Amino acid sequence: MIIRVKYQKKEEVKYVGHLDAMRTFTRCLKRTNIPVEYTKGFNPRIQISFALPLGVGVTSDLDYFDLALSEKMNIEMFVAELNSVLPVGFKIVGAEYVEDTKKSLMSLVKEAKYKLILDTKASVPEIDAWLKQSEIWFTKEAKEKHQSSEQINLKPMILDDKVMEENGKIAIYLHTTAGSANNLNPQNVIKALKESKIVIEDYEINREELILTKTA
Amino acid sequence: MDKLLKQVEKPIRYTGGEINMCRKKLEHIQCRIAFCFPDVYEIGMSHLGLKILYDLYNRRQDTYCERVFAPWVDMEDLMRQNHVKLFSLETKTPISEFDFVAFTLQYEMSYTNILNMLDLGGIPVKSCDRGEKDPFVMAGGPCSYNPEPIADFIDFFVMGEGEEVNIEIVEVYLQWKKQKLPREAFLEMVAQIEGVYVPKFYEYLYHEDGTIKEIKTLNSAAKPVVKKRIIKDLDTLTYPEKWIVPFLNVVHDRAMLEIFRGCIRGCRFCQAGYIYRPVREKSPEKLKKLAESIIQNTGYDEISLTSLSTSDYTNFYNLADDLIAKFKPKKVNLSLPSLRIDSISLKLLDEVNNVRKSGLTFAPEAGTQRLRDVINKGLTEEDILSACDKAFRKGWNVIKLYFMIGLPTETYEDLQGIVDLANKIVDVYYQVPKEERTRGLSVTVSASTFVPKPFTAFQWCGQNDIETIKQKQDFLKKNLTNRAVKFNWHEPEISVMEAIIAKGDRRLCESIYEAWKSGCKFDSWGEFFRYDKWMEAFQKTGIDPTYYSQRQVGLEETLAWDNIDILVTKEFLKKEYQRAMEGVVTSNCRKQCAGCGAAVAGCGVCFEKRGEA
Ligand code: SF4
Ligand code: SF4
Repeated sequence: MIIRVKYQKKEEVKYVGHLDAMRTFTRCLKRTNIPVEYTKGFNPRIQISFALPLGVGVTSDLDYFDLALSEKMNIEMFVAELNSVLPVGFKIVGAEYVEDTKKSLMSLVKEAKYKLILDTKASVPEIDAWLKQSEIWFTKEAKEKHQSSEQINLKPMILDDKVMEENGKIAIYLHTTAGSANNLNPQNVIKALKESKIVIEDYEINREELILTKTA
Repeated sequence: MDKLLKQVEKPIRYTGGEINMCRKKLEHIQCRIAFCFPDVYEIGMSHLGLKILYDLYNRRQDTYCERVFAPWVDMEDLMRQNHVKLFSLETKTPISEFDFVAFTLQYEMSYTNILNMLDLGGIPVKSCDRGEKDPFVMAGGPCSYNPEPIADFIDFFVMGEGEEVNIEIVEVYLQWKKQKLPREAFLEMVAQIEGVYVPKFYEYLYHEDGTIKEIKTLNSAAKPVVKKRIIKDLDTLTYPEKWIVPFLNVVHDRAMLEIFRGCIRGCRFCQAGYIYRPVREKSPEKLKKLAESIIQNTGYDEISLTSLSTSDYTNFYNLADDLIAKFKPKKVNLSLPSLRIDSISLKLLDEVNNVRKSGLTFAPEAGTQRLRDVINKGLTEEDILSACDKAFRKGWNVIKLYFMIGLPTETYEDLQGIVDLANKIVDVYYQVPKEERTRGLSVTVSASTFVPKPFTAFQWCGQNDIETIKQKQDFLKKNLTNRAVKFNWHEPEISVMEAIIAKGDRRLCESIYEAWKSGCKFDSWGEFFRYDKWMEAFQKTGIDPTYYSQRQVGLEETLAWDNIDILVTKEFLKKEYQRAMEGVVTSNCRKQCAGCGAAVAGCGVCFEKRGEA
């Protein structure tokens, strides 16, 4: 039985990386009486899968993981019990039982919405013009020494954008493609801005929404 | 702050907020303690003592203990550039605002980090420069048994196990605070607690040849000899509640269950074997409950039984079986470090390592029986070879051997013994029928350099000079030629530094200060260790480092740590030194009491009925 869990990752835990966050959830589940299902084999693990890794330093209003349960549990109780052991900053905001389609949750991720807040001297029209270019290039640094860096055009992954001033800072609302293919990492937008000589003093990124393909 | 964190590697080293981090309302707090581990987060958070003391302090409603680690160099640079003071993880308070700044001393090579952390926290590095507003800087942990090399930087030291004495210190502090007395008065009050050493109340006088003439007590509050503290009955200790579970993958990322303190063995080079005497065990009932509460509170899926020599726990195998039975349904694995390898332990390891067989470890420390008798290591070649034979038949194929080079009385015959032993293990492997053994044998020989330590039978011994150690390493490199055998060694310079500081006295404080001033920090990290800078610092401060490391100390000399009492007597250590020179072994505490002096504690193994082994 699969329960799809909606959770938030806030300011307090934004530097917890994806793997560390996954480990935190499994440890917290172990501290509850939630009837989790384990994988078979020598090294039994809690059956849990996450939708889309979140970059280090990025907060999120709405993310998902799928968890296998060995028996059905009341949803409110599930949410309350897990919330009682999670570190401050992680919060379960909802859950629902879903049909077990054997498809990974990751493969259902289609689009995402982000809000970027920039501390910059650049103006709204400047940023807007930058986003309206027909191509937005960014250099992806090589991971290994023998590899060379790669040029990536971010533009096709941006479905919609809006720029406005908020509290003396510039807010960019981005609607992007997401998932295992064509995933836009919003931190790369910051890097691309910096590459194009726009001075960014500081920034914040929040994932506002993750949009899944309906599985019916 | 957030801006800085975006620029550093692993920002969660500095953010806190982990599972079980203690949160308190500051308005109810009377005493704030910054528990400082002078190394990076991942190392500090692997340390059991930190978790125990954190939990202990934070049970008190009037006390709040927070954690502080040495920032990595990238963070330190940014902090200095932006004038950010070293802060605690829990509330991000600068350490200068705490009542106590408490360091744990786990290894000598962390001392420059202590100076650096104080400086980064805006606290005067030297005790004599601190004023009424500054926190009290205290230190405890195994290295504090010779407090002298850092006596100028620490206001007071705590000797021995901290569970009781640290609470007594808090209570004295609260009284002092209520009475609004000057700083000096607190030091006098705290000096009266058993186990507390206030260095400024002692003066060292020297002979012309540099040896110590006398240790004078300068204040009537200070005890002429400070006796270490121990917990008589470990079953009285509380169950962990606030055991922090790091987000980051730290070095020992598992629940740790301490099953006993001390070691019955008495290897003559081993400081831990002497300073934690006598052996005291937790009862199996207590352990089972403790294990359950740790797992429940942390959600770890692995629990490790920790002690200096796990198989020496009375009825160890019953305990292990019970724990396995208890945790199997909960999918919690048991891990068993420092187990003596023999047929029973192999069976157990076979059971707990059901996936992949990790390597088997032996620590014969010396290559010949003669030298093993000198160091009192009761492990024979026969033991090792027969254990290897059984292990190979059960499918193990990775063996790790730990040795020390430069031990007192060592000759090249003993080094040849290391080579022979490794080769014999290879032979044993090939004698096992092909069908029964796993393919691909790997034997790793690791040779560390002997470091003479205070409070051991070898505290009077000199260390080999760097040249000699290198020659000995070369001999092993040249002669460990079997293809299945790998040889591991370290550059001897760090071990030499360790010996200098471990056996140092108060005159070294200036050298450590100078070394830190010239940029030394993270000395235990090979990439930062600067031997040349240290040597310069010794030269500038007029210290001959070989005086501490290489000199054979006379048995009649006053030692810098003679005013500390670890319960094991100096007389006993002398006797052990003489027996070592004669190659006579001393039996372990369980077989026969050797009369070391620790029985005055009135507890533990000293009062067991002795029967079989
Ligand atoms: S067995 Fe020997 S080396 Fe190991 S802790 Fe005990 S005394 Fe020290
Ligand atoms: S007094 Fe005897 S039994 Fe007790 S620790 Fe010393 S040698 Fe061991």
